[in-house]
Amino acid sequence: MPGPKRHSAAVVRYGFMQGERCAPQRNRSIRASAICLCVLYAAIAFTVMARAILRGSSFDQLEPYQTTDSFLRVLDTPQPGLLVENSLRRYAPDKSLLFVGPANEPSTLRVYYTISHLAYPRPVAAVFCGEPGKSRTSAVESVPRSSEIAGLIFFETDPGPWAAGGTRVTSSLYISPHNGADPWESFCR
Amino acid sequence: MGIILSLVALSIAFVGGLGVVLLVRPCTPQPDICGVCGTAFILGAGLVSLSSFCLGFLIQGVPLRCAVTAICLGMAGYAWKRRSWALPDLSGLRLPAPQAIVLALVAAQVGFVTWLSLYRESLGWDGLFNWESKARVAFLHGGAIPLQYYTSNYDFFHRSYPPLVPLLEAWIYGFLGRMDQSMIKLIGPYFYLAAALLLISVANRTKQWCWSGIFVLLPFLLVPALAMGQGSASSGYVDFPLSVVYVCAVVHCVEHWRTQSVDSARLLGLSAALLAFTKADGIVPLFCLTVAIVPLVVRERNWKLGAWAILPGFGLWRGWSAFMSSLGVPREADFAGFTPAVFLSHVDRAGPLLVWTVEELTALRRWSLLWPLVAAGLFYLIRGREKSRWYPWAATVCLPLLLYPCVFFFSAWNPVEAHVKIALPRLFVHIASAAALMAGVVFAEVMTPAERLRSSRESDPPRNLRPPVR
Repeated sequence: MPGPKRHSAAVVRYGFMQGERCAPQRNRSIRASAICLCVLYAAIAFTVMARAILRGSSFDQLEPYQTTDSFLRVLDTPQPGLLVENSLRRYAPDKSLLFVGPANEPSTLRVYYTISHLAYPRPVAAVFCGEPGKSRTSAVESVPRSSEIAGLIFFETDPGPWAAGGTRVTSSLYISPHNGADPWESFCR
Repeated sequence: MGIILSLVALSIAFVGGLGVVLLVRPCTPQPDICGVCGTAFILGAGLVSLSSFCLGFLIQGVPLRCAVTAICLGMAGYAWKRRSWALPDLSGLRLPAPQAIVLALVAAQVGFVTWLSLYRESLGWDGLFNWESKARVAFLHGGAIPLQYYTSNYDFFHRSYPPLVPLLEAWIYGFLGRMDQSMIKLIGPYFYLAAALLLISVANRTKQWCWSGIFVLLPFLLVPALAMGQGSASSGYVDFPLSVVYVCAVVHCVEHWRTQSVDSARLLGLSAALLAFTKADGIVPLFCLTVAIVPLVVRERNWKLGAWAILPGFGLWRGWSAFMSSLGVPREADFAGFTPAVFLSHVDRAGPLLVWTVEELTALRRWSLLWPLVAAGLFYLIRGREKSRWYPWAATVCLPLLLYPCVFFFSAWNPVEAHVKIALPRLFVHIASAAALMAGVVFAEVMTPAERLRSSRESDPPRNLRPPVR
């Protein structure tokens, strides 16, 4: 039902419509401003997108492990994702693994999370080995420290005596079987 | 072959969504094909994920896939049967030159985004660890996320994040029979196409179509942050899908303000329900939609409208929260809790937050001129003084712009700047599609004065034709 408030709204609208007829000049300038804005908007967007496209690089082909491969590029081998996943298949799904890597290497965390992702459903804990005076040793306790570790994953770390029976996946990644619950820091060398 | 199988999986989702939309919408002589298809893409994704999630506790593997497929096809079949197996009447459809150009523009942009998704951008950090990891878990458990996933002590990222996109990814994996990080990138273009169709549908509603449709679409097609970069359609993040779900809800919300039809309220409710099931942040857009619709509910005392438009969203959000609590899934550590005490302890962040927000909104590299245009557009709408024209846009575009920076008062990060710089651009992606739509609608009105008059009349048809009462 039309109430007083609605009548006043109609008046406002009517005035607005009258204004449109009376001010073609203003309409033209508003339209011209809108077109200029539109052109500027498009120019900025095209420039930004073109620059981004020209700068970056493309994937050669569609790969099932596209993202994990790009995260594991530091391993410097073709199809590192598939390689790591196949290497971890020898461990039963309920076995725990331990990742050992240097704390001061920027790619360590990314490699750890990617390997942990590929290792699912096997839980992967981590120890990031520090260097005296440079960085501290830290750990990701995805499994209790007291639990049995079935396999050790050495990234950019010399496996030393734990190399026996293991596999060198790439020059910087070594996976070896283990049996026990040794202190995690003992794997740092 | 992988692409074809992925498209089959997504097509089944679309058909399911089409069934839902056709069941909700009444039969009209001239169907809004773009609007129906755009909404169907979104509701279809929700239908597949919700059915996979619920049925996944009972069946897995091939039976689950068959059951979800049967639900999707059955829904469409039932909707078609209710329409007496009638096909839509497309005889009256014409394709004038401007519309053909717009469709070509959309096709080119969707192709560009697909190329970016498949060949240019990887899933990214969050795309892999927050989202694809859940799809991986689901695939290894026959297409469903098992309860042990939530209760185990495995070091997963954000276990409490809702699974709409991961389950859609697992749905594609199920059809492929293997995990494939490239193929799930098609989800970005799927949602991009949905958003473009919804925008074309809005452009179609402006009856003085001609070239004004281009102005409705242009702001959306030209936002760099929606096409490339973290949170965009070509990344594996869920920010863009959330943005499209939101724009779908906004389209139906604005449509409801315009027509006050029951079916637009229902479609608003169904699309808004998916917000909180897409990402936890979806509660903010859901709240804004509630603010947008509440004046209509109160003014008309139409509680049924409130129930249709608001309850599904809050119901699903509450259900998901209760599910997480019952399983003892820890709360996200990014926020210290949304309490007045936390807010008061961080109130000194107000100044820096304002600066960072303005910096972000004026970052041309990500947004071009989107946000200044939105500000100008809102000013233009408010100048018209008709609440029905500006209020839904203000509530759905401007309110989240204010609310999103405010969530950082509750951030547990120290320093908070790092959190803001990482998260704020992606939070604004959630609103960007709706903001671009608003800018486009205003553009179209500015360019066609006849459209402006029509839009003014349509917001209140009979009263507008009356002479002023003096």
